Amino acid sequence: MSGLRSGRTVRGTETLRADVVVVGSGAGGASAAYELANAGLDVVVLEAGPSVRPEEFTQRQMDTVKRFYVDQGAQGPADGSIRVLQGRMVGGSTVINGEVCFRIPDAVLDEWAKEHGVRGLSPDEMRPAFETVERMIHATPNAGRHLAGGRRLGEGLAKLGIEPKPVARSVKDCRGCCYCFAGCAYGCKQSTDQSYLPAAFEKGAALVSDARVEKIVFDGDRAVGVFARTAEGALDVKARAVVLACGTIETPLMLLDHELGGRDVGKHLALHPVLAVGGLYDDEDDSYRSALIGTYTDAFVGDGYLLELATGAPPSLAPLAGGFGRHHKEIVRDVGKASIAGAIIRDDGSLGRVRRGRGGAKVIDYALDARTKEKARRAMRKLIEIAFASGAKRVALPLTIPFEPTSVDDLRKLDSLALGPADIAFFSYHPQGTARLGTVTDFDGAVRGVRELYVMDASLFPTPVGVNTQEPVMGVATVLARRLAGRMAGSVTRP
Amino acid sequence: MPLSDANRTTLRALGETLFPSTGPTDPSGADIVPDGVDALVAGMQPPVVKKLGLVLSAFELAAIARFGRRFSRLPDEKRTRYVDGWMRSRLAPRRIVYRAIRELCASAYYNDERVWPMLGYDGPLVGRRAAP
Repeated sequence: MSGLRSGRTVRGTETLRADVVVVGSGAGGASAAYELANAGLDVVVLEAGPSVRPEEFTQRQMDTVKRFYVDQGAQGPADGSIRVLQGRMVGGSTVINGEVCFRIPDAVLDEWAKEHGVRGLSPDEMRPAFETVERMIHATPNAGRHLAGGRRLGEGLAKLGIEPKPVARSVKDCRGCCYCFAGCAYGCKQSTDQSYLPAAFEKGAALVSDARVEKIVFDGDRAVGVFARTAEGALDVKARAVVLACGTIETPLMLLDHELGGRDVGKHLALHPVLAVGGLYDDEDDSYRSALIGTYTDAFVGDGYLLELATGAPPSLAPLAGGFGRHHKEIVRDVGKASIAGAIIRDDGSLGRVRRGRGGAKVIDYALDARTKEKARRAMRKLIEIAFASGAKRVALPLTIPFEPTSVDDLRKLDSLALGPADIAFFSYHPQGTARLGTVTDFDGAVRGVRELYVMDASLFPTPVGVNTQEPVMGVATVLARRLAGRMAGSVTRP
Repeated sequence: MPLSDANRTTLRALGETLFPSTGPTDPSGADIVPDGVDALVAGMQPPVVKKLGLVLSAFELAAIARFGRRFSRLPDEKRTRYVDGWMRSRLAPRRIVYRAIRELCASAYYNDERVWPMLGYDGPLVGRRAAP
C-alpha cells in the first residue's frame, strides 16, 4: 500500500507493517517520512486529522478555524492571554501558515551547542538539510506585488533608516489573495500535503488520515509500533521504529500518557507570542490583496523580536481594532486600508508547560516573565514609532483597555501600562520546546529510557528559534531522519 | 450543543452595545451576534459550551448589583457603562471575561457577510463568476 487513504474506510482491526511508523503529517512528520522513504525504508504515516483538498477551502477564515484548527482556534491557557493556533489535518499547521521560510539562525544553533550541549546540529551540518527543505517546499523570496503586504509600515521603517527585506515563502504561483491562514484554495501553498507527502508517496510511503494514535506498543523497552483508532475500526501498525511528530502540544502529552521521557516532558514550552499592531491611514491607495506577509526586518532581533509586515482580509483584522461601540466602529471602517506588523517575540525563559489536568484534560500553562514583557513593550514602542513615521493617523494595539497613541509623544505612557494576562492578547503560531534535545531525548531525537522511539518536531528545540518554525522543524527532522535511515540501513536492529 | 434562550438574549444585547449600527449600511450586532455565536460554538465540546453559558449568565446577572436590573434589560447608556466597567475593572478576572466575550462576539459579527460592505470588503474570490 502506498499513497493516501482515509481511516474512515477501515473496518475492524487492520494490521499494517512498516520499517518506520510516523505519527503526524505536519512539518516534522512529513519531512521525516520523505527522508526515510527516500532512503528505501517502508514508511507508514498516521494523521489524526482529515485530508482536505484545496477546493474545500472557502477563503472564509471562520470556516477553516471551525473545521480544521485545533479546538476551533481556542487552544491556549485558561486566561485567554494567548491563543495557540495549530492545524489539525493532513499537512498539520503547514496548511494554515503564512508560508514564511527562515533557516534557524546560526546564533541559535550555537546557543544550542554551547548552552545545551547539542551535538550534530551545527550550522555546517544543518546547511545541506535546509537546502533540501527549500527545494522541496519551493522557498522563494517575495518579489513585485507580493512585497505589498504591510507596505506602508515598511515605508515608515525605511524612514527610520531600516530597509525591510523580502520574506521567502513556500508557495508556487501565488495569486496574492491574502487568505493563507484560511488554507490555500488554489493549492499554491507548498504545505506538506502539496510537497513532501506526494514526494514520499512516490517513494512508496503510505499515509492514513483520520487515524488517532492512542498507544505506542512496546516489546520490553523497544517501541515496535502503534495502535490507532479510526471512526469505525482500528489500526495495529507494526514497525521497527516509531517517530512522534505530533507537534509541541500533543507529542509531550503522548509521552506523559506513556510515562516516558522523564521529568522534563512538557516543560519549557515556548510560544513565540506574536504581537499584532495595525497602522491605519486616510488614503485609499493600499490594498489587502497581496501576499499575506510581504517583508521583514531582523534589525530588532537583539531587542528580542523579529518584525514581519503583513496584510489581511478586513474581517480578520477588524477584531484587532480595540474597544467597542461607536468609537470602535469608527476605527474599523478603515481596516481595509490597514498595514499590519507582527512582532514575533523570542520567549526564551521557559515560560510554559503542557500537562494533563483533571480528567485527563490537556492543560497549557503560560505566563510572560518580566523580561519577555519588556521585549513586548519595546516592540510596541518601536511599532508605534514606525507607524507614525509612515504617516498613520491611528495605531491599533492588542490591549484590553484601548490605548490609542496619537503621536510619538504618547510613547512614554506605554511604560506605565500593565501587561498582565488580562491586559494584552497574543497569538502563537510557533509552539516549541516540550521534549527537548538532550534531556527528554538524546541528540538523535531518541526518547531516553526506551529504544526505537523518536521525536521529530518542534518539541525538540532546546530554546525558541526566534523565526517562523516551519523550515526549522523540517531542517531538524531532515537531519535526524537521515541519521535514523543510515542506522536502520546499516543493521536490522539498532544495537 | 446550542446556547440557551437566556444566553441568546444576553448576546443580542451585547451585540447592540459592542457593535451598534451607525448608519443604513452598518448592521447592528443585535441581529448578527446571537446566531453567529451559536454557529461558532456548534462544533465545540459540550463542557466548553456549558462554561461559556455560565459566563454569559454571570455577566447578565451581575448587572443587578450595580444597576438593579439584568444587563439585557438596561437602557443603552447604562449597558455601555456596564461593559466599560468590565473592560476597565481593577479585577483581572473581569477584564479576562470582557475580553473573551468581546473576542467571541467580534468573530461572530465580522465574519458575517452582512457586515462586510461596512468594512469595504467585497468577500472571497473563489466561487465568483469571471467578469463578463
